Formats: sequence, C-alpha cells, structure tokens
Amino acid sequence: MNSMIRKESQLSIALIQTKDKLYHNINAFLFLMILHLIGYLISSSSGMGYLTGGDYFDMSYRNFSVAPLYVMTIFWMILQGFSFGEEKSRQYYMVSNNFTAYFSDIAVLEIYALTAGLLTLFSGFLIQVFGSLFVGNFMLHSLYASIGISNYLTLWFTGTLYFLIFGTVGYLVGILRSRYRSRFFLGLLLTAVVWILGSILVSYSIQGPVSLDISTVFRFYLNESRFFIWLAKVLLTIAALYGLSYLAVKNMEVNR
Amino acid sequence: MIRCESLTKFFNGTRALEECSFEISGPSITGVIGVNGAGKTTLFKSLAGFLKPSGGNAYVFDQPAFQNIIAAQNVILVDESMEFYPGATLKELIDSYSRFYRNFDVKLAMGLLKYFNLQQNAKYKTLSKGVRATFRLILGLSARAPITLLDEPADGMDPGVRTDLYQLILKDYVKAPRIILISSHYLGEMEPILEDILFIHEGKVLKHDGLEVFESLLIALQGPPDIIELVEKRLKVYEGKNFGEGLRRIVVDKEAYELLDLSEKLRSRLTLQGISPEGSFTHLTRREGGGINELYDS
Repeated sequence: MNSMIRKESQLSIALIQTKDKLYHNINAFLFLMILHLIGYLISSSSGMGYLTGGDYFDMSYRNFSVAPLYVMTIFWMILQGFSFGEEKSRQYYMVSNNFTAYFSDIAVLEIYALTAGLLTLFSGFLIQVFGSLFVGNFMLHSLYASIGISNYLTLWFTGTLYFLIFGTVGYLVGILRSRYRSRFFLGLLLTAVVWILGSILVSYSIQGPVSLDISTVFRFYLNESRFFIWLAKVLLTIAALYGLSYLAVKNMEVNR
Repeated sequence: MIRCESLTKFFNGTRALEECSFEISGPSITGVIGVNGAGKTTLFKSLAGFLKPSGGNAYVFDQPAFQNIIAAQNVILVDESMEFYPGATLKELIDSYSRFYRNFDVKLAMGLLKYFNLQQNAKYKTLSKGVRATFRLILGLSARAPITLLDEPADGMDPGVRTDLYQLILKDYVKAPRIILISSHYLGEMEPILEDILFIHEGKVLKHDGLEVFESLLIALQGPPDIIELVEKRLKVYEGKNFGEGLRRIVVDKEAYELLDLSEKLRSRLTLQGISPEGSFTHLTRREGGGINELYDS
C-alpha cells in the first residue's frame, strides 16, 4: 500500500487544530474591537463627551466608566465559547476526535481570554491611534495611562480569568445545545425551576441574608479580598466547567 | 485493515444497520451498493469513527473506529455533509487539509483544481452543488488516506465530469493503491473500475464478493411457458414476463437453477442469458409484492 499509515499523537493533532482554529477565526478579534468601540460610545452617554470643531473628539471627561468595555468583552467571550461548543455537531475537521476537538477549543478559548484581557486594557489606545487618522485629536480616556506595570499585570491576570469563566460557560452551553438539541430548552427550563425553588428553600431554611440570585454569585468572586482564596475560587470554577464540558463532549457522535 | 463485526446501529429506535460483517484487508476499489436508506452512509460514518455502534463494532487497523485518532488520521470520508469554514477559500482549505493529512499531495490538488477550472480564491460556500462535489473529491483523493470512503461522489455532477470522475479515481488508485470504498445506487457507471462489491440492503450486508461473482448472480431463462412454469414452481423468481403465446421469460438465481433437478432435455429447450450486476442489483432490491402496475390497475 503506497499510502503511509499515520500515527500522530492526540496532542500533536490538537495543536494543529488549535493553530487552524485561530487562523480561521481571526476575524473574531476584529469583532471584539468593534464591540469595544460600541462600549466606548455607551460610556460616552453615561459619562461626559463632546465633539467640537470637527477636528477634536474627547470622551476622557470626569465620569468615564470602563464597565461597558468589560460587559462587551464578556458578551464576546460567551459568544465565542458558545460558537465553539455548538460547532461540535458540525465538526470542521476530519482528523479529530472528541478529545482533540475539546482540547483545541479550550486552548483557543484561553488564548482568546488572554488577548481579551490585554485588549480591554489597550484597545482604547489602539482605537485612539485609528481615530487620530480621521480626526485630528482623538481622545477616549486616560484611565489606564498611568496606573503602573504591576496594576496592568493584575488587571490583565484577573480580567483573563474572569473572561475565561464566561467563555467556558458559553462553551458548555454550546455543547449541551449541540448534543441535546430539542431537549436543551427543556433542560434550561428545568435548571431555572430548580434554581428558583432552591433559592426559596435556602431562604426559608437558613436565617440571614442568604440567597441564590445572580448578584450573590458575582459577590462570591468580586467581594473576596484574600488573593489566594479568590484564585482558588476562580480556578476551581474553571476546572469544574472544563470537567463538565468534557463530560458533555465525551462519546458525542458527529451528526453532520 | 477495515473490519465490521456484527455492526448494528439504531437511530431513535430505527434500525440503520443490522449485524453487518465483512472485512477488507488489502488495497482494492470496492463498490458499496444499495438503494437509498440501505445503510451505506451509516456504514461509512461508522468506519470513519463518527458514529458509536449500537451493537458489534467497526474496526480500522484492528482498533475500534469510534473517536479513534489513528482511524481519523488514516480514513477520509468524502460526503455531501463535509463541513468547511464558511469564509475559507479553496486554497486555504487545501492548505488546512494538507496539515492534517500527512500524505496529502498539494501538487495533485492544485493540478486538479486547474483541470476542473476551479478558482483557488473562490469560497466553497459560493460554489454550485456539482462543483462542491468535485472539490470534495479533489480533497478526498489528494489526501491519499490509506482508507478513502467516497459516499455518492458523483451526486450533482455534470455528465461530463461524472465520466472523468471514475477515470480519475482509477488513475489515483493505480498511483497510490489503497482501500477505496465508493457508494452509489448507480452501479453501471462505476462498474468498470470496481474489483469488489459490497451489497447492502435494508441495513444488512447481503453479499461481499468480487465483481465477477455479481456478473453471474442472476440469469434470465426464456422458453415455452410450460417448462418455465416448472422452474417457477421450484425457484424464487425475481421477474416474469410473457412474450406472446409461446414464450415466457423469468429471472432466477443462477446457482439455484444449476442445482435444480431438471432433465437435460428440458434444459436444452431454454435459452439462458446473463444479467448484468446492475440488473441483478435492481432485481434483488425490488420491493416484493404490489408493483406499479398493480397500484394503477386495482
């Protein structure tokens, strides 16, 4: 037989898939930049912005908030994660199995989270550079201009991990939708019912300000002041989401 | 190299494959023949490792195929549902496939693109149905995977391209001998390049043998109605037709006829005629009872 039998490892196939997925999804970063621009426009309405003389644009005034940037990035991460999860039913790669597909998806999501963390800090500068090409003096904000390298690193690190959590949640939901199709919405409904009933039961059985609403979940991470406890919470959450995603993708058939 | 042992597959309680067993151990071009819904695509997807068997198993290089990375690297399944990145150009897809299939012949792929007048920078999603089929075949053959599964490769192609297609498969096989399985419900057009036939009907493997065996599977007997009637009473008849008062023609199993207890004198009054593999396939897969005529005449 002239066609040689190939026996590459799963890891090497997963790495080729990772590179290929990044190459074919490069436009995702352009989409993120557009979302950031929208985020800045939303910020301008909540903060103070003005445009004068046709050659001067300034949104750096007093009450500027970066929250819309984070909201847009989170939305982007969820969307990317969901797309990767949902693509499992389409399977763009012939040379693949569930493990390599899962591994490369996770690797790409991690790269996305790292890049998103970085872009959230620096996209303002990038947009300013592009903006300056069209408007003489283009100023968005200067919140990150003089915070120092350690703060940059901290914001990048924490942002990356938070974005990764949202991306992995999107990925898990995408896989579940891809795998269970018509039963997916029933599952969502049941989860909502269990969540609501659970929070009612908890509030009746435990005295004190305990509830299971979304803000409680956010406070669980955001109100944690001890760094290592926070890190443990975040990493365990990511690990749990990875584990659930793998369980969902394991033994999944390719139903193209 | 590929083996199915009692391979069974159900989809939501509906049987697609039932107890399929066969083995192909060396390079050959095998035609997988069956009517629509016979189970050809399910068989291919099982061999490609896409589907988890409900019973039995499909093996590639003695390993269960389902989600097996060795099987994935050495099997390419070319079918209508192959998915590609929507924005990717043909050149990008060839580059991408060449990274995954290490035997991939980029030069051949580019040459075939040129031969079939396909633009490198065209996007797959913008191509017509027939041109998409041609491009998928280019990928499938250029991948030079040791096991190449072509599911209805000619579907949607122009007649001119269909003729080229089988010539191309044969040329490529001669250049790089490997296991090639081609499924179709039109046996006639691919018959010249086939060595073996795997005949599937209602999810079961009815026969797996050389093409020559299928050439002598069924025969047509023609002769006086009284002698034909004698045969009809004792053998399964796939088709029967009267030609006027004194002549009747039936199609029966050749082997069964040879074993039939019928005197030489009577045999000599019958004319025997071979049935082509395509004709045999049509007779064997025809639904029993209630033909079209009955439907309209009732």
